[in-house]
Amino acid sequence: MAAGKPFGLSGVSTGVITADIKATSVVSPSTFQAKDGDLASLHHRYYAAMVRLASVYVDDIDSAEEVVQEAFLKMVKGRRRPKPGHEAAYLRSAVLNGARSVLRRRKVARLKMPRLRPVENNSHAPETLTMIHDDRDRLWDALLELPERQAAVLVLRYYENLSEAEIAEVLGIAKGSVKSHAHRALRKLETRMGQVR
Amino acid sequence: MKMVDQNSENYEPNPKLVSDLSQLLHDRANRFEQRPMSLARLQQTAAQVPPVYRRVEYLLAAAAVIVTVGAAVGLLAVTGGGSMTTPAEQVAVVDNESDLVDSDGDAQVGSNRDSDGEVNLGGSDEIGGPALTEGTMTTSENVSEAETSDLGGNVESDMDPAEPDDEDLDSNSVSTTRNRRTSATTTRNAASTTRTDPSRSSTTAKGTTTTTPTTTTANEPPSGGQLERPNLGRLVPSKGLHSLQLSVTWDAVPGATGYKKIYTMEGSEIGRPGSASETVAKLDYSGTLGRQYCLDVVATSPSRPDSEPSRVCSADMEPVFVHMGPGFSDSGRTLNFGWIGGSPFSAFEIRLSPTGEVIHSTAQKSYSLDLEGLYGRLICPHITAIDSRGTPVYSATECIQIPSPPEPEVEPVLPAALVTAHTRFINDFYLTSCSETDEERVAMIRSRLAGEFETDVFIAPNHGCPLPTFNGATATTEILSFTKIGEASTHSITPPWAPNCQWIYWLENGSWVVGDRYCTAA
Repeated sequence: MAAGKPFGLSGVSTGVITADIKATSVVSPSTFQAKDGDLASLHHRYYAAMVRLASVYVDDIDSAEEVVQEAFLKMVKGRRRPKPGHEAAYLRSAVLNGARSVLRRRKVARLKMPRLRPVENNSHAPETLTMIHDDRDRLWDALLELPERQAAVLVLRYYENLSEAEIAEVLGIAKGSVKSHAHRALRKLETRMGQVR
Repeated sequence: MKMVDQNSENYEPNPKLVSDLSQLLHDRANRFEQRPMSLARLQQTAAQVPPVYRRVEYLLAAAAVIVTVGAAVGLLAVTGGGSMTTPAEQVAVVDNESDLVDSDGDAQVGSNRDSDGEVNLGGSDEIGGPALTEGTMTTSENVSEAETSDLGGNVESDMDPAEPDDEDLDSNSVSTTRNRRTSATTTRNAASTTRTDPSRSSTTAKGTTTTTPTTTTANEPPSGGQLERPNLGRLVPSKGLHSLQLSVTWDAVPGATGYKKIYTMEGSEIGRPGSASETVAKLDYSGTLGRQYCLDVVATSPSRPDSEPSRVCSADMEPVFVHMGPGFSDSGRTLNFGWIGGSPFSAFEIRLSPTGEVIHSTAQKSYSLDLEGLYGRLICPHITAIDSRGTPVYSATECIQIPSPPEPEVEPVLPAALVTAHTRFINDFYLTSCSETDEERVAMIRSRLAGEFETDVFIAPNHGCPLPTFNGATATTEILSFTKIGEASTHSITPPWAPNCQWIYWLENGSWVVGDRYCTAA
């Protein structure tokens, strides 16, 4: 039974299979050492910037750090790992996906709820605080309503100051698509913000 | 044929919009004070992650298992006796296959769980680029799954002999601990909270600042009986700058390999039940303040019946302040504060510390306190949830230092001394122009004071000329009221009868100060 325990089966054949899988899946200590070095270097280089990128989306530092941590873990443990020199693009993509995932969860939870209404007799009730909007809130709301790829293009362009080619690499799309996404996204924002020329 | 968006070729974005957007994004990115992230912790977590298995290896392994089982069953049928595998072991085959799940296991088919073990209803609409998820072999909803944050949870011990502390087992434990941070500007009175529901008592006390949610594995052999109910702790809120998160932990149930988590809000289930092996559940509560949120946790195991569910609800949560700050009302400045929690309770009692005075009782979850008389004091609203029998159940306290009131804008007021001085001036004047009528005297005074004062002169009745001399006992029969115009710091008036004399006066600290009359030698 011991030989086949990982599969819970007795029998020689399954034991062999188990042994094969374990042999190919276990990362040797020497490999880990190398990865640790890579991880330390990448962590030192990108961690703070990635937390800030995640902070653009999520509303608390804990979530931002968690998103970034998972991005790092995926990078060093995922099946598709970035080629050398492309770690930043990989991390940006993973962070954007992770942060948007956090937002999706929150949005869905809120959609499940009745619409919040101001509480009568007290305009400072906590429930009403979320209803206070200024222009920045409107702009942020408008950005969140964009298709994810369009929003990501704007974030990478106007926060990360990436070139079209770099954005294309992060998002895995053509350079021309970056341009059209940016165009459409800005048009929508202009319409929402009443800044149509 | 390649389609080209002609509009985008020559498009020039609105500069203001671009500027606003850039500023907004940078402001959002820099909202939080960055904290150093422990690289060692990340490395430790990474070391826990089982390496990713190739899809082809999955298929080979699965095929081999199927062939083996089939052969065994066939052999059993042929020989007609003996049992090579027990039903439990067959179940275990399926279960343990899930141990081979990709560490990016959040892409499990049909799964609605995320890496936190939270409910994730959103579709997988991830941005392209590097593939972050992989299809996996997931066999059963109740099977414990290897999730991204469940890193290493199902790793066999022989794969990673260096077992770290529980606290370091997964990323969730890291973030949960961080989420227990309390705002530095507030004071929470943990000791004031009481809990009366013994059925949900937990070793996780209220106010505990650290938790040890751990990834658990089935560490006991299947015994066949129903699993025990998870013993849930209390919902613990943690506040961020713009968010409020609820979390609950529980002790590992012996024999359980996973925990099914069923979230409901206002009685409606949110999404499909999630399942994970970690003993913590978290939910973002920011958008649902004050709403009833419940979590049912069921311990699961592939070889034993599920446990009965254990439930914890936000109603059972002590009041939590979510807002406290200054405000204004018709009557003046106010301190506004709001809280959540204790949903089913009929009233909240607000006491002011340190006096203990009950200032209000309300069913609402917010209050506006008039700050008159409270400036400069440390105010600690103490909220107590009262149940339908009038019994206090939960309470919370948070303090805020009320600043001193702003200095009132002082209107310059002419002191009596100045009035007296000018009365004397008028008397002096009077003595020298006694022959004129009152109207003429008033006009003369006004013209003499023009440019210095807005004057108004009241002539008292029953006066006449001649008046007593200036050095007499009572010479004043006229009252002159005036207001200052101009901003010069020092002023003087030279009486017409004494061209070599001046009356000096000035404004000091908002009040008029009158000097004496200075005369030069004639």
